[in-house]
Amino acid sequence: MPGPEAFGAFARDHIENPRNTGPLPVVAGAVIGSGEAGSRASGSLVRLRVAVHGHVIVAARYELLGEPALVACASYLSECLAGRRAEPAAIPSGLEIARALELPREAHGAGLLAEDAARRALENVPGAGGGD
Amino acid sequence: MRLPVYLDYAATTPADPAVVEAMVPYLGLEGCFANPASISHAAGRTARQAVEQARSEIAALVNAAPEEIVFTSGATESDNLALKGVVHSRGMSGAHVVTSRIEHKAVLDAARSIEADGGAVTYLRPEADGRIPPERVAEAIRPETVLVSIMLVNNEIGVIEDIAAIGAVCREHGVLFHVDAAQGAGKVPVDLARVPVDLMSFSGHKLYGPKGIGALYVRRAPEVRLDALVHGGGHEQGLRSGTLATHQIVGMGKAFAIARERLAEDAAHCGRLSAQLLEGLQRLGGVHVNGPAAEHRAAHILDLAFDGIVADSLLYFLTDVAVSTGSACSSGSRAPSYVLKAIGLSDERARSSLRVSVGRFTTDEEIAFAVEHIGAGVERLRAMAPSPA
Repeated sequence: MPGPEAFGAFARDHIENPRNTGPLPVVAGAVIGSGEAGSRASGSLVRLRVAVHGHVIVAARYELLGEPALVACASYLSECLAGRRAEPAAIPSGLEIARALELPREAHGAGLLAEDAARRALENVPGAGGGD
Repeated sequence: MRLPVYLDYAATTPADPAVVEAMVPYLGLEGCFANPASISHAAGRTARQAVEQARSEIAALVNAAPEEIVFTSGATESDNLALKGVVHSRGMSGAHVVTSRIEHKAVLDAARSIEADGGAVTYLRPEADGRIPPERVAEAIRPETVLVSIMLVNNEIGVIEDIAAIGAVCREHGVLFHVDAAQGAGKVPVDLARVPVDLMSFSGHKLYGPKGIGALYVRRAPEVRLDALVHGGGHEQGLRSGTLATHQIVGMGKAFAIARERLAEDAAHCGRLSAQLLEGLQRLGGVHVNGPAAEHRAAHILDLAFDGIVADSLLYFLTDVAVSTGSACSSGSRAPSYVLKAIGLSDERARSSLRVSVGRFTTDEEIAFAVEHIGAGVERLRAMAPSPA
């Protein structure tokens, strides 16, 4: 299991100071979508929630159970999503997430899991990305 | 206080300062570096004497005779010599061995190798607390069974197996009994004059001795037939060839002598610190002991599950506390611990588990520090944890 020395400074910062944890902020008029990927049994589970207003993601929050790489991926992704259009093309791929964080190759799966959770969250937004 | 706080004594122990001091004179030109097999000169005979003194110390810890101790490179080799040595001596085909699912990998992998060579192995399932009921051993013994191998103390959950009762079952059925005592020797009392064990593996480095040295006890009466695995010179009564590592043997002998003197004191110290650690961590809530209750557990090992976390993530944050998520021999793997799975724990619980093991040099201050740091890490991860579905 990788310790801090296995990660670059950018990933370490996300692991040690994870962004956007806790409940979603209340945004008037926003609708919420929630998506989950992984499982408790596999030791990697991420549950992502997005608040969408006017086809724009205004906030993303997550809960997770998993290895440090998954913390980095969920934290980084939650920052990326805020302000983007609520559509699948706006979600960075798992590989892009892993590369941005310079994760070791064996941890790239964490990026894919974060991506999957984000896609499902957007799919579950009532009105398919609505919120007007 | 020295950082990181070392709480991984089940993986290895630091050599006792008295052990290091005892070893040094057997290395350099000014000391007794001669080959202990070179009995043609005084220096060789002095080295031989040191080896024999160490052999006596190791035998004394378990009330065996010195000539029943065979030096090896460590407990892994001892386990291999015991299992394969017995099976080879009986002829491989059709030989049957009984062991358990929670044995050390050295036993399990040796057993797999016996299977690959045409032998048969039964892997007994333990009870939920890790104990192997002697009657389960009896049920598994067949006419072609040649050996039963059950450990004294499990290296992950610390369960103490009832080797006296299992040994009695083996005697009754005329089957040899091997005990891997790498984790238990010097931690729990063993009297081989009373307990019917035929072969017992020991490790130097698990008991404040050096790494790279171990021993196998081979009972003389009734004599145990064993084939050597390493040939070349007929050292160690033909059971393990190779020049004896005098300094390591002397170190192991010293370590075992100290352990004999301090067994009760060390156990009381470890038991008190383990209880302190458990009490401190249980204040977090959602903390469970994996395996047996304290009365069936070696005092130095505590395997704990923390609800709502993955222990690998916890380790990331524990830069100042050295603990592990399983045995050192398999903790690099991402699969949940086979020991925890074998006692019936779920993947989720197994992945949330941490092994903490204390030792002779652990202090109250270190335990307080560990409680604080492990607690902070657990709370940090729980703050992100998904609520139960």
